[in-house]
Amino acid sequence: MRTILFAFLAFPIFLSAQNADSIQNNTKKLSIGGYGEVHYNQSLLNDKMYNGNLDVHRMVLLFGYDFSSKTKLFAELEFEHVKEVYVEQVYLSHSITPSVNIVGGLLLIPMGFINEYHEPTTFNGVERPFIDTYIAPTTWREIGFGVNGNILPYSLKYQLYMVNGFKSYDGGGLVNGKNGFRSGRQRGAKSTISSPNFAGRIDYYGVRGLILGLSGYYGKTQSTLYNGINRNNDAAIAHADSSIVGLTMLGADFRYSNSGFDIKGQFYYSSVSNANEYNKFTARNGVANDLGKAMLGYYAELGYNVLHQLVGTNYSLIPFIRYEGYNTHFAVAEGTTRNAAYNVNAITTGLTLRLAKGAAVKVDMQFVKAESESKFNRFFNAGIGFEF
Amino acid sequence: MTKLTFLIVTSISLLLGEPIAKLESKEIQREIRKQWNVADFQAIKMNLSEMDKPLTNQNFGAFYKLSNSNVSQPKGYFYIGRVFTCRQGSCSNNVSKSEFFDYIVFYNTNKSIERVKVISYKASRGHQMTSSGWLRQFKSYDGSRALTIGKDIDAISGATVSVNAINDDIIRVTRQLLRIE
Repeated sequence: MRTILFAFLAFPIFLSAQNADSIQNNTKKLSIGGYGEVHYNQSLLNDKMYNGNLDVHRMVLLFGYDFSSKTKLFAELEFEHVKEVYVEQVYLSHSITPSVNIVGGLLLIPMGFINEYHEPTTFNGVERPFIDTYIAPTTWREIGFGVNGNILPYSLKYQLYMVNGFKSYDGGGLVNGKNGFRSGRQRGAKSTISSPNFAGRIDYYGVRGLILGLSGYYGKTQSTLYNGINRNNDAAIAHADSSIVGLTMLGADFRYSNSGFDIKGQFYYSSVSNANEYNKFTARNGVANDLGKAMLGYYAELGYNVLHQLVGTNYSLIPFIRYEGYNTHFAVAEGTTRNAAYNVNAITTGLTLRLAKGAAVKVDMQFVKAESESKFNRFFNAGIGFEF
Repeated sequence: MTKLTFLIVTSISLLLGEPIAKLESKEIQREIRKQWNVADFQAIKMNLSEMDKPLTNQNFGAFYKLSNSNVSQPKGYFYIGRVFTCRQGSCSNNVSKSEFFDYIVFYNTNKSIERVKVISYKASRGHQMTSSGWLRQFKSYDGSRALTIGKDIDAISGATVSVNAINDDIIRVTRQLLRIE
């Protein structure tokens, strides 16, 4: 009896203590961060004048919330070009063991390293590499679920996800030779699914300064034509099948840093099946579409922090040079004429000045030439980038 | 006093949710044996210096003195602890309770570092810093100076938060060990 009475008396105290506690805990459970980049892009050609372009390319807010030490939410809210709003990532992660985490939501596709590590302070150059626009269409994200984790004794990180794929047909063709799969990204916005895709990646980080990555992606594109057709209607299914392609993509990359040097490289190869059929099906005004049968992209970059040896400075000043090549018509299907304008080489060279951890000023010059052109087009870019 | 300690310990472990890697755990026992090449050993928990004691509740770890049969002649020291990090950016006021790693630092009898080993990693990024090759950079560190990322210790692109977190913690605990009589 006495115990019950005591419990009764103690209850309100316990309750109020818990309230105070939970307010305090809520602030501890929530973490806020962000990153952004403001750019100036200027095209420089000898015979013509061009307007420059000033743009708040991205301003992103990051939110993390810990429901428990095992379950958390991560969200990235993005403003692109000031007024386009996107949810760039939002997923729940539940840790079963330190090496097995289950995730679900809007996920980044682990292809190459720029797509996952796209904060402007992590790469040199004002704009992301071309191959991370045209071959791996960063920021590439779709809704899905999967598993990831670190196997520490072997210095391996693995990721394996089932995700939604690119949309190739929505009353008209969405993917083509010029932009590759970029316009097919659904970004988790009322996205359509007709067939799931698979993405995976392994990182090996066992050697000091070196990170090696292998990525793979496999699946069919999505089409609205499958909606509402009868399972036994072979003709309708065949019709819908013409509006999709199969995509197999491989990526290999490395990052190596030592004594102020930073060397990076990425390589992508995409193989597209059913391109011939798809190009005919998505013809416009009698002109067939021109999606390639294979796409290729690569770059290598060298940077050196010239202030590396200087004692007592927090600045880093990194001159860098990057050589890139990409071709969205690396191979073409029968009936498609190879377009030399889609085979591009680019040299980007410039400076990254890190003012402090998380804040950088960048300038660069880009020399870009397609196979069809006789001389390099030049661009000047400058920008600020930050992450906190 | 014991009650107070108990309370502090309980509240810390409640706060953490997941207990910090324990001395008794198989993995840590294995690492200790490997480090000193001993079959049997005695690990005695060390008390922090008077100066560091007020900070006990910020210290998510403990120091141990290791010896075999002869307790008066230690073979070395080690520290087992946890470092909280965060998913993004500078997180001094922004640590996440679900983003952390546990690690162990082995010291020789001169209290300079022999080896650092991360035994569990529970943060969504920065795993590259757990590589033993990278951690070898801390060997021989004795707390006499600060270590700067990008100069004394290699930076890792994409792992800035963890790299800074472990660097700061190693400096802190090494200096705490020096202050223990």
